[in-house]
Parts: sequence; C-alpha cells; structure tokens
Amino acid sequence: MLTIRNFSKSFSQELIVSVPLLELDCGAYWIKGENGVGKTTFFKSLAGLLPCKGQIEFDDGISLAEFPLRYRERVNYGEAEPLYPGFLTSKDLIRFVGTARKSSLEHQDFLVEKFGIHSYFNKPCSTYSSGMLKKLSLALALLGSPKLILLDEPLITLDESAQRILVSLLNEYIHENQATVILSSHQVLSNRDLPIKQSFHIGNKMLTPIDPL
Amino acid sequence: MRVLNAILVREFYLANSSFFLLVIAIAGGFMRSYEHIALAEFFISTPMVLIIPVAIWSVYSLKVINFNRERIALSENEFVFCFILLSETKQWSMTLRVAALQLLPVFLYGAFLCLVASKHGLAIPIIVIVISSGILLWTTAFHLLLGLRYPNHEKKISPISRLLNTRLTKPISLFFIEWTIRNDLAMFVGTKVFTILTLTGITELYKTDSYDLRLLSLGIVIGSSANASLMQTFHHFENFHMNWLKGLPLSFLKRMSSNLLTIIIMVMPEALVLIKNFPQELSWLECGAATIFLLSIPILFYGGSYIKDRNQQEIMPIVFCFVLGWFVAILFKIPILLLAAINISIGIYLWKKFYYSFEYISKE
Repeated sequence: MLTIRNFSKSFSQELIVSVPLLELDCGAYWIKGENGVGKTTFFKSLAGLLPCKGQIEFDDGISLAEFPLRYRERVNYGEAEPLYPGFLTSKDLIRFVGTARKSSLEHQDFLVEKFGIHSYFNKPCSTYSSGMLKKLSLALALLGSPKLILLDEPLITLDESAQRILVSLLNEYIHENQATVILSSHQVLSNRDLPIKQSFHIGNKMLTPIDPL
Repeated sequence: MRVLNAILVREFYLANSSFFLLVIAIAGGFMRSYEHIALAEFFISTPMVLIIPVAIWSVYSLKVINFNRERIALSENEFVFCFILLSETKQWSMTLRVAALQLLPVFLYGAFLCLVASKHGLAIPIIVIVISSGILLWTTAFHLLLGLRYPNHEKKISPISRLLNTRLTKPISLFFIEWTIRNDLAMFVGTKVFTILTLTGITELYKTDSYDLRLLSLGIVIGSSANASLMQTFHHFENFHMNWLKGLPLSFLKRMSSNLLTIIIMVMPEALVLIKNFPQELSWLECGAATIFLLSIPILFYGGSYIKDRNQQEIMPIVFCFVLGWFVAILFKIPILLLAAINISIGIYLWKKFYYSFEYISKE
C-alpha cells in the first residue's frame, strides 16, 4: 500500500496541488482533471522528479524522503509527451534504464517485442513519430519490478493494438506484482479492460475522490 | 515575411548574440581604425589572400543554412509550410530577403573591402567579392527555399551510423558529449580552443624566463574557468533534456562516477596539452597537482549549479569572484593541490546536497 500524507507541491510559493491523506492499495486508479490543474506535477512529484513536501511512503516504511534510492527502485513513470535526445536509439535508452532498474535482458526484449519497438530499436529517436516515442516511453516505464506505475496520458498517440497490449500488461503488473497503477487520461477508460478501483479529480489545488465506478 | 523574420532572422541573431558580441568586442575594442584598414588592404592585396575572408563568409553561410534547416525542422514551426502556397516569385523574393538579412555582416564587411579596393583602384577584388557574395546569397536562399518547399523529407541514417547503432550501445557518460557536439559545437570547440591556447601560451613563457608554479596555476584558473559555460550546459542537459534520470534508482556514487567521467573526457584536451607542455623545471608532482587542479574547477562549477537555477548572466559574476579568489590564494602560495581538494570536496558536497531538491524552472 502507498500512503501519501500532507503532500503539497508549490512553484514559486504558489500552491499547485495538495493531498492531506491518500491511501492506495494495489490496483488501477484514474486521475482526472482539466489541463493545467497539476496532474503532471503530481505525477512527477510522486516519481521523485520534482521536490515536494509531505510524506510518500510504502507500507514497509520505504519513503521518498528517507530512502530516495529504494523508493525509486519501486516507482516508474511514463511521461505524457516523452522527448529524448534525438541521437539516442531505443536500444541505448532501454539498455541503460533496464540496467538501472535491474531488469533482465529477456524482460527488456519482451517489452520491445510486445510494443513493436524491435522495428526501430536501433534507429535514433529523431526519426520517430509521436506514437513510436510513446511506445518507447511506456516500455521504459514498465522495466524492472515496479510497485507503483505512474502513467501520464498513456493512451494519447497510441494505436488501438498498442492500447490493448498496455492494458493487458498493466493487468499483469497489478495481479502478479501487486502493483499500484495511477494514470491520467482524458480518454474514457473501459472499466472492463482495466478495472479502476477509484477515480480522483484534481481541481482547486486539491485531489478529491470521485464516486466509485 | 514578418513570420520568417521572427523565426529565422531574429532567432538567428539572438542564438548567436554572444558570438556577435565577441566579434564586436574584438573589432571595436582591440582594433583601431587604421588596423582595420591595414587588415582590409592585406585581404585585397592578392586574390590568394582574398580567399581568407571568402572562406570565413562561406563558413558563416553554412552556419546560416544549418540554422535555418534546424529551425524549419522544429515541430513548433510547422505552420511555415503554408509558404508553398505563395507564388514562385514571392517565394524567391522572401527567401532572398531573409538570407540577405542573415548574411548582413558578410555584405557589410564585403562593402568595406570593396571601398578600400576602389580607393586603391583594384577591380579584381571588387569583382571577386561581389560574385562570391552573390553566390553565398543565392545558395543560402536556395537551401531555405528547398527546406520550406519540401519539409517532410525522409530522415536518412548513414550506413556508418546504422552499423554503430546496431553494434554498440552508447554509455551514459557520452550522452552529453555527443549532445553538445551536435547542438552546440561552436561553444564546445570555442571553449576548448580558448583553454588550450591559454595553457599553451602560459607554458611558452617558461621557455624564456624562470617562474614558479604560480604563473601556470593562474593560467589554469583562467583556462579551466572557461569551462563554466560548458558545465552549465551539462547541468541543463541533465536536468532539462534528461530530467527522467532523476527518477532512476541510481546511487549517488554511480551518478557521480558517470558524470565525473564525462567531465574528465571534456577536460581531457587541455589536460593533455598541460601534461605535454609542462615546464621542465617544474617537478612531476607539480604536474600531477596542476592536472588535478585543472579538473577540480569544472567539478566545483558543476556541483554549484545544483544550488539554484541560474542563467548565464547570473553565473558569470560568480565565476569572476571565484577566479579572483583563486588568484589571491595562488599569489599567497596556497598549494594548488589543497585548492583542488577544496574545489572537489565543495563541488561534490553541493552536488549531493542539492541533487534531488534542485528544480529546473528555466525555459529553453
């Protein structure tokens, strides 16, 4: 279980989003909100990419503030609009992130195959379409054995087949790894494909639960 | 036309403002009017010598062509492709005007050379200058026209790149070096040339007179401090272009060893020059200390860049203060190995302390 307590994130002393208390068990959670309300900031803060206040802790006491390295071993983040240096190839990125996340070569190749990255595995990112970049970023976000997967707008620019693969992989991570998946999406998620435990809304600088689906 | 001016002409001069300021500082600050005329007279003296300014103009034109190509390729500038809807004449007139504005420094200096040549009654240099300026203008405009007419050309990967990409996996320590060479070659080469020339010049002084290590140490301070911009760019690359790195479960030791390797590779050219030209009357122990001191300065600047998001203008006064501090310390005979140890310790301390709390708020 992941517990978020007294969380707040500000930019230049302006509060962006705050969460007094949030407890998330394994399963999928959907965060909704209009553009610019702080969804990405919230995700990046949880991923340890942005400094924030408050406590973000797993049930065994591993927290972002006290165990930055062990916390990051469990948390993967997929960006909404991924951008990588144009000269790097998928191979460069997957091998590097895979090694950092202690993901076996077999698992790396499995994700490459699943998302159809093998056809452009050795090509530089500057030659990719936005859909290809998105697939790469999702593969990177699924490397290792994450306990918390944060996916910011995972469905945009993805074709239907890749969307189905993503949903099936997320279900595997939830059931086999007991992972918590938090995703934001403006597209409607089918509860049948990916059972959503709880939806939240970010607005007025607060994260509030929406009635269960 | 206003759109092309905004995204190509204005952006070109803004992107190269430091280069133009440097040229203006050299031309207006160090050279007097009669020196300009003497240089111009030298350039027009023979057609062979006239190749020098023409070659420089050609390099400048290539820079303009490259800049335009990169700008057009940006997705934010995709809207300019409606340019193809304009008539042929309009397309040519617009691209010629944009190219002319970007090549303005070439034409101004060319006009100055023509004026000097006409005073001496020399016709050939004038003809060469006019023809070469015309060719450069046409070439630059033609490339811009092609770029705007055929925006979605296939991105080709050379067979060598394809082979290297297939056979090799790039190590993280080379990511920044390749990025800076591809994106900011002028700054990288300019910094290295300046540092190498400074160190070479200082070591040459030891061949005619006898000095202790302090003179060389002062040279190292000047040369190595020039890496401050490069270190800021490295920091920008890590925290802006590769911000996802912070989310990876990498120990500080791993991050530090990888980044230190990048810094060592970047400082390698001047370190090799220093070792190769190291004054014979100084000991090898001093050579080792000087090399470590050379490396310690970029480490301090890199670590310090994590304290707060600062732009180039804010960083330069800080660098200047540090340079003055090192000057005083060296003149008072504080051992450079001690200074190096302090620099490295403070640099690594700041880097570790502020790594996770640093927030990049600057815009590209």
